[in-house]
Amino acid sequence: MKRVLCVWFPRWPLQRLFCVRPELKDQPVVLYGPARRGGWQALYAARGAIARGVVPGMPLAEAQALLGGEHRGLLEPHDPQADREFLESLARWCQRYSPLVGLEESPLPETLLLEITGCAPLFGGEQALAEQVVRDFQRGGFFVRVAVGDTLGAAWGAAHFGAVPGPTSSNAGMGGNSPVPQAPRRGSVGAESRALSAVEAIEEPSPAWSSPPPRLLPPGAGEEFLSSLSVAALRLPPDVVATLIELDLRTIGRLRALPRACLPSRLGKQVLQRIDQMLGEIPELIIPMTPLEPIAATWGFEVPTSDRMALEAVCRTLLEQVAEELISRQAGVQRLECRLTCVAGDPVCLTIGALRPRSAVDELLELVRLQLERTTLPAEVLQIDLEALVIGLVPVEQPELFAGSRPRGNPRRLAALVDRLGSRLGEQAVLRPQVAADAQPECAGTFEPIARLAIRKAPSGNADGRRSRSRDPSGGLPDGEAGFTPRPLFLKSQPQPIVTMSVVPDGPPLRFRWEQEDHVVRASWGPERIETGWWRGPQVRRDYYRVETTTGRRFWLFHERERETWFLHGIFE
Amino acid sequence: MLRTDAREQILQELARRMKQVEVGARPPAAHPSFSTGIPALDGLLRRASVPGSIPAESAPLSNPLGGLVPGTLTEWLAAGSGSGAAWLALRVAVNLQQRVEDEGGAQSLVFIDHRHEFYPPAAAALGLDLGQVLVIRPPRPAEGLWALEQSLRSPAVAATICRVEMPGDRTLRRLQLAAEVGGGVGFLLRPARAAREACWADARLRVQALPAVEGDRRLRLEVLHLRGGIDGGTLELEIDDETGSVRVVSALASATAVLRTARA
Repeated sequence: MKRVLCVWFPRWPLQRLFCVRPELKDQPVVLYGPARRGGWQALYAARGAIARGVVPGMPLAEAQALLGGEHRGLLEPHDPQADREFLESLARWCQRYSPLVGLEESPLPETLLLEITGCAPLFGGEQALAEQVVRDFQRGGFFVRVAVGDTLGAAWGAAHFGAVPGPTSSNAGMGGNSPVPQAPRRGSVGAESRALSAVEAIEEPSPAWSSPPPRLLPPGAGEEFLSSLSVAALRLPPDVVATLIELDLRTIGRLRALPRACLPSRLGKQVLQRIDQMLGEIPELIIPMTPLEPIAATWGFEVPTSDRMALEAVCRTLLEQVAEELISRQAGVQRLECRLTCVAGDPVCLTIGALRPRSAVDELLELVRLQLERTTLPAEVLQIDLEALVIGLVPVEQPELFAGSRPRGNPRRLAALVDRLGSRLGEQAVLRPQVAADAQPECAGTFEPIARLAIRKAPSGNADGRRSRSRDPSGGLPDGEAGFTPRPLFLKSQPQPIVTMSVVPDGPPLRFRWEQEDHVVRASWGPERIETGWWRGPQVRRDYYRVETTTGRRFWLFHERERETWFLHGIFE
Repeated sequence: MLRTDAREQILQELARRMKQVEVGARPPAAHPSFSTGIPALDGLLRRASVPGSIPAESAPLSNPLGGLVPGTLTEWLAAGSGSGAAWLALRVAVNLQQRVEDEGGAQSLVFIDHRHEFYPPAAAALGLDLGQVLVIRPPRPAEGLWALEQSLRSPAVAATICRVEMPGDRTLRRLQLAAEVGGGVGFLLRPARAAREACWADARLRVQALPAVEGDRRLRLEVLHLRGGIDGGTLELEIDDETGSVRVVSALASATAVLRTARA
C-alpha cells in the first residue's frame, strides 16, 4: 500500500527569512515583489505587520505607510530562488526518513513530499515517524504541518487544509474543521492575491506556537475526510478555485456530487484529474531530489613527471571532465581546487577563485596556468586531483543576433578581467576603493578586495538596452563634512619626515627639504587640527597645512604635536 | 623604365601609406573622439580629418575630431611632483567615464597603484564614481606592467591610469597595441624627463604648476606631441580642488607650432 508523507511549511519565504536572520523573528517584516502591472506589492507579511493592517497583495507604498516611520530594514525583497534552494537542502536532509523526497510541483514550492511506503517499521510505526518529523523540524525552528495519506494529493490536501486533531486551544485563529475560504473581497487586486489572502488568513506561524501533531489518514479509507475538505485542497489554479467558490461548490464532496461529464467543459480538465489523483485512480509520482555528488576528477601518472606541458595537458583533460559535469547541471564553478601530489614533500594546493560561476574550459585552464607558473614544485608530480568546491548556477544568456548592439562593458567581461588579475596577483591585489567616515586621513580611504564584494548587476541594461545608473549616494565624503578641506590625490602610505627650516610659530614652515630638494613656501592654508584615534592606539594629534611652494607645487604637511616634528603626508598631484 | 603615370601612381600610393603610418592605422573618420570635458583642451587636441592635411585654425572648436581617440595612450608629464598632472588626468578620465556610460559602453576605470598612494576621498571629491573604480596593487612592479597591459586589453574598461617611469620602447609599443585591442583609453603618468624619449602615445601633454593667484591652483598645460595634429598649443587652467571644476584662464597662441603632418 503506497503511503506518502507531506510536510507543509506555511509562509515558507517568511520562515526561511527568520531562519537565516533570527533577529527579524518578532519584527513586522514584509516581503515584497514585482506587481503584475508594474511597481511593487507586498507578498508576505509577518504577524506584526498584519496586525498593523498590511494585507498581502497591497501596493508596497501602502504597506510602507502602514508600517510607519520605522519601516526601514523591515521590507525585504522576496527571493524565490533562495527559497527553493533552501527547501531543496531541507529535502536532502529529509533523506534520513525516506529515500525518495521531492518538492511539490509549483513555481513557489512550500511543501516536501516523502514516499514512506515500507519505511514506517524502521521508525516504530507511521505515527512515530510522523511525530519524529514534526519534532525534528520543530527543533530546527520551523513550523510545519505534517500529514500522511494514500496518495500525494490526499496527503497534500490533509496537510494544507485538514483540520488539526486534538485540543485547539494553542492553535486559535486556525478555524474549525476544514477551514473554508471566504468569498473573495470585492475590489481586491487580482485573483491570485484573493486566493492567497484566503489561504494566508488561516495560518499564523510563530515561533511561540508549536507545530500541531501530524494527521494520519488510515490506509484505504479516508474518503469521507477528503470529501469534507475544501476545493482549494485540489491544487487548482486560483481562478478556478474562485469560480468554484462563487458557484458555492466549496467542498470536494459537493463537487463530486455533480455529474463528471459536465465538469471539464465548465472548469477545465484539470479538476477531474486532480480529483482522480487525490483518490488514487490516476497515479502521481514524486519527482525525487538527486543527491549531490561532488564534482571531481583525478589523474595518476604512471611515471612521475615535472614537465609543465604535460601537467597543463593533464589539467586540460581533467577540466574537460569537470566542465562536462557542470554543464549537465547547468552550473559553473566558483572555487576550484587543484591538488598536485608529489613524490616527496607536501602536496601543492592551488585554489582558483572566479567572481562568477564559470564552466568554459579555456578560461579555467588560463586561470590554472597563471597560478601554476608561479608555483615551484618540490618534486615530480605523482597525481593531480581537481575538485569543484563551490558551484553556482549559471544564468542562461541568450546570445543576441546582432552582436554590435550588445553593450561593451557588460559585467561578464569585467569579471573575466578581475579573475585574470586576481589569479596572477592574488585576491588582495584587486580592490574596490571606498570612503569611510573617519577623521584620521589614512583611515578615511579603505580598500576592499573585489572577490568579497558582489559585482552588482544593476548596470547591465534592461531589455531595451537602457542602463540604470547605480550611483552610490555615499560615494563622496560623509555628509557631516560641512567644511570640506581638499585632500591630496596621492597620500603616502607612511608619513615622511621632512627637515624644516625657519618655522613660523603656530604656522607652517617657510622652507622645508624633502627628497633632496628644497622648497620655499609661498602660501599656506590651515591649520586643520585632527585629534582622533585614541581607540586604535596612541592618540593622533596633528595640525595639517596645505602649502604651495614658489614653483606652484602643492603638498600636504602636518605637524605632530606630541613629538614636535613635521611630516609630509600627501602630494596634490 | 617605368612610365610616368605608373610612377606617379606608385609615389601617391607610397605617400598615402606614409600618411597612414603617421596618423594611425585606423581611418580617423571611422571612430569618434572622446571629449575631454574641457572645450579648450578639445580644441588643442584637434586632429586632421583627412590624413595628411593640416587642421584649419579657423575651424570651430566643436569639431567632432577634437579630443582623445579611443584605443590610444595619452602621456601626462608632470614637471615635478605636486604639479597637478594626475589631478587633471583623473578629471579627464571622469568626464570620459560619464560620456561612455551615457552611450552605453564600458564604464570601469582601473588605477594601477603600485606605490599604494591612491586616496579614495580625494578621488571621490573629483567626481569619480568609486563603485566603478578598480584599484590594482601588484606585489611587484613588473607585474604592474602586466596588469596595465591586461587592463588596456579588456573591452570592459573605459580608462586605465598608471604611473610609468621609463619602461623602454618595447614596453610602450606593447601597451599601445594592447590599447588598440581593448578600445579604451590609457593614461600614463610620467616624469618630465620622459619628454626626451620618442613618443609612442597618441598625445603627450606636459603639466606644470604655476604660482596661484587668489587661492585657486594654476596649471599650464602644453601639448608636446599630437599625432595627426599640431604640437605646441598651450593652455592655462585654474582648478578648484574642492569642487573639481576647471576654468580656462588664457589660451596662448602656439608660439612655435610644429607641423607633424607629412608633406604632400
